[in-house]
Amino acid sequence: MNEIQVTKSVASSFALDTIIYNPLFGVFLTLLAFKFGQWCYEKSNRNPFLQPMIVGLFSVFLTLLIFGLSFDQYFATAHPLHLMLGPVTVALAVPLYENVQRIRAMLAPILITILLASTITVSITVFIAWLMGAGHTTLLSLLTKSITTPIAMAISKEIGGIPSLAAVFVIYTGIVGVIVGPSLLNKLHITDKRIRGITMGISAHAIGTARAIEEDRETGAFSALAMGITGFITAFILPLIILWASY
Amino acid sequence: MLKGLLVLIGFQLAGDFISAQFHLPFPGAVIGMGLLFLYLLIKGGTPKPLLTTSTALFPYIPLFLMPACVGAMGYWSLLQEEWLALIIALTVSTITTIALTPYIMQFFMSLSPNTRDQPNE
Repeated sequence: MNEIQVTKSVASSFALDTIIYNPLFGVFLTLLAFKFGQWCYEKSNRNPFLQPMIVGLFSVFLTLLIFGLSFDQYFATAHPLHLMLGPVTVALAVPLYENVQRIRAMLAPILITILLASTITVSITVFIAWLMGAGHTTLLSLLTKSITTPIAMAISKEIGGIPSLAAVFVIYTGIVGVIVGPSLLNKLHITDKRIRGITMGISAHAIGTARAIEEDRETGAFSALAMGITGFITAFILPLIILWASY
Repeated sequence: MLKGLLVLIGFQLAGDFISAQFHLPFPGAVIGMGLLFLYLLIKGGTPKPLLTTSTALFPYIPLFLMPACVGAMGYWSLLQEEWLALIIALTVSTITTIALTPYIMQFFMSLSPNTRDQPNE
């Protein structure tokens, strides 16, 4: 409420208010910011730090701060875009199906890799955070950092973490993943699309998958698969481990 | 485009229903993805409208992710004095995982002979 009152004094004109409080304002702002992000990305010769989504996020963030708008208010008016995440996630079944033969041939290596890599990533995170003095609840909220946001929030609640904190960690992980991922894989000369996809899906969930499908459909398919399996395995195993550890 | 969108939303609704009915921690969209995958397996091919719609939507996944990401940025204040520890922990672990995963994968792929159908280009 406080922030809205501040806004009224800054943007005193009624006409301006009809833009800021318009139910489509969030959609407009997000599209504009994304378009600006695309422009920056092309102008910078595809600098990974200036990916459309990253630039877009900071542009929206700054705009909200400047106009003194609350995040809740933005989210409410950007909600139509958020809703599209559902159908587009379902649509990932299409590249998954297109690559079903390839996937079947290597299901065992994929499963083992996901188990190992997820364990490693969570262990390193929790160890460093614990070493640097993070609290118990924070550590619990870190455990779901590699799985897609809705699953992470549900599991985090179940194991005693804070769902919104878990969401922050998931998103931050995804952003690090898309900034570092593709260029690091290039440096390591990893050209096998299947491996690139799996790596992006394990380490950066949906944000990584969005980036992977930009490379091509096969990379995207493997990333979607890894994202799905990582989420699935974590959802089943993590609550059991926590239960076992608390005895 | 319209037909494809209808199918996608239909599967999402079915996924939401199953998620709610059986109290699953998985979001309806992920269940819907699984259902559509099974449907395509049984059908043995991708219908054209589905192909058109999915191909048209994919470039915008990052755009659709933005509202949730901005929403999460609003929670940074929950971190208080722990923020530095968390940034270091998450950054280091994510980069390490990206660097290690390809080699783990390559190792286990070399153990099973039928996975070498795609040489490095």
